[in-house]
Amino acid sequence: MNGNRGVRTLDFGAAHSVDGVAANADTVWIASGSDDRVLRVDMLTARVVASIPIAAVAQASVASPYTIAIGDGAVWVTDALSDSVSRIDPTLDAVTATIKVGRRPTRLAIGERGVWVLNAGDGTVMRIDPRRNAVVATIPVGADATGIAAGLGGVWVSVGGGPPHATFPSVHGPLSALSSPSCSPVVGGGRGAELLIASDLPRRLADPAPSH
Amino acid sequence: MLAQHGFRAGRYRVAYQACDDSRPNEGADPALCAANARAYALDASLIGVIGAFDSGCTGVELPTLNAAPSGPVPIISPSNTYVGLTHAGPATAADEPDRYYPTGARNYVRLVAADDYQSAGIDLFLKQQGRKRLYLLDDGEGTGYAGAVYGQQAARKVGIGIAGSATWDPTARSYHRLAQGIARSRADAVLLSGCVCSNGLTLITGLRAVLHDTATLIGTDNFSTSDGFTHAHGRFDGVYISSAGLPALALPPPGRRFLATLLPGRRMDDIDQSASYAAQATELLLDAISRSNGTRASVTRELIATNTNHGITGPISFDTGGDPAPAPIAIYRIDSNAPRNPHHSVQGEVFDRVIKVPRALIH
Repeated sequence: MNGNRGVRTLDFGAAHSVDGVAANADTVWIASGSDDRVLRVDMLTARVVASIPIAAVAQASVASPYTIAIGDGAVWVTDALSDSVSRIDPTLDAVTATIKVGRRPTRLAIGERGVWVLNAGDGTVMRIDPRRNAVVATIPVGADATGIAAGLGGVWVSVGGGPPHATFPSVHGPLSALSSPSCSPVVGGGRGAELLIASDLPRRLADPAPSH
Repeated sequence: MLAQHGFRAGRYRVAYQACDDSRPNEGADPALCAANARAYALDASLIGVIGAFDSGCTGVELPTLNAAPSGPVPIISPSNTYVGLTHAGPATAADEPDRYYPTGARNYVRLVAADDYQSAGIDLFLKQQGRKRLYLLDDGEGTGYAGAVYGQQAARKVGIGIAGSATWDPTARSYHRLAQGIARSRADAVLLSGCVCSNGLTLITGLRAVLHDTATLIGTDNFSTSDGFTHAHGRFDGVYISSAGLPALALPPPGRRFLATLLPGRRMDDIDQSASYAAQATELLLDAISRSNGTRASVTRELIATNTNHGITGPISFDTGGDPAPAPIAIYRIDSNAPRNPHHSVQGEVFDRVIKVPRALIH
């Protein structure tokens, strides 16, 4: 540990990575994706006092804990590569529930009567009922969502890459829309649009198919 | 990218449609590719296509778009690597690339290097590593065989000897005899040209059991895998994999700034390469439209005449066939302790270096 002008640095060694962090009272919780663990750090002693294994769900080989949050009497962590959320009981330092969610869960928020999970891989937000440890709602938010927060009476999702397509003005000009059923509605350009551009690309994060 | 430009390209107002040529978890569907191509060809207001992602899909679409009634449709692909789309080579069909351009006019450019450049990049990397004798392995599939042929072709030019070549049997339970043969050849490098899905992990395990660290193992881009390297307790660590184009980590400042704005807070190594290359393709098409007189022929001319030093993915121009220059190849090293990248389609690899492949090595 190094100290400098109020900044404390903890080195967890090469065996761990620091992918997510959350704190309460005198405890800091670290999501370590590289070795599928959540570390509990006692900040009074600056020592790791528990190293909690995060197991992948049956169909996945690694869990990769990524984002971590505290609420409803538990520590919650998204398992980004096994498409699940793990619930840790801080009195036991153990996982007490693993909840299957959407594809590539990368962000987490707690509040407004739920644990809210942003699934970056399929562009959805899921609400977990912490009393039942179950997903009770799924809300499509689009593929470009980047962050989530809960509070002020709602759940808020940030979207990267500009406004979603639906907010662009539709086209009523001389353009004709492409007739293929795989194409989205025409967006942008306004009434005076003269030219049309099409992209012909997969619109979802795919498993690797690197031979292009 | 289009929104950033206010849906304008110079004096032209442009509109946009996003079409998908793939099925979930199955990749490109040739039937969808063909349906899309017919729709594109019949729309006279279409000024350009960004895509396709998959070379096979581009191969289906190109002849239709080249022969479109209102003139060849300009196409810019951010990701295609199949050689025959732009030029002939020792592993292309006799009528390639002409079969894709029935009018005789070219209307296609790509942003990343073709597979022959990738194999040459591998050879240059091995030369940098001081390797002298290369053994070529392929999985017997078209892409794998072609990669080995291109690797052999470029090896001679960079001064690496060929220790031998073979096709591995994807159904084999053991590669012990194959590995022993490679050891006897005194190869100090092995090119794995093919798909990791062709029993590639068993192949690497078998080779390492015999060769240990005496030979550098390097796979072509099809050896990447979503998680096969991350739970192997380091068994594959130190194997290299190549890929055409630059990862986000290696982009010049304009590219890194663009990605930081697009995906705030995201680590660069957790951003898939396809984001920056799709944006670059869009930018170049808009630039070409802005310099054109609004016709497809003019946009195609301007697209092929692209010459910029400040692109998202770095400097770029195209030769008359539509191949990019420069044509960087990225080399990755398998590392089971690599940071997990949940937004990335590939896990367990760390970026090692960029290889710049001179055109003289290919033609």
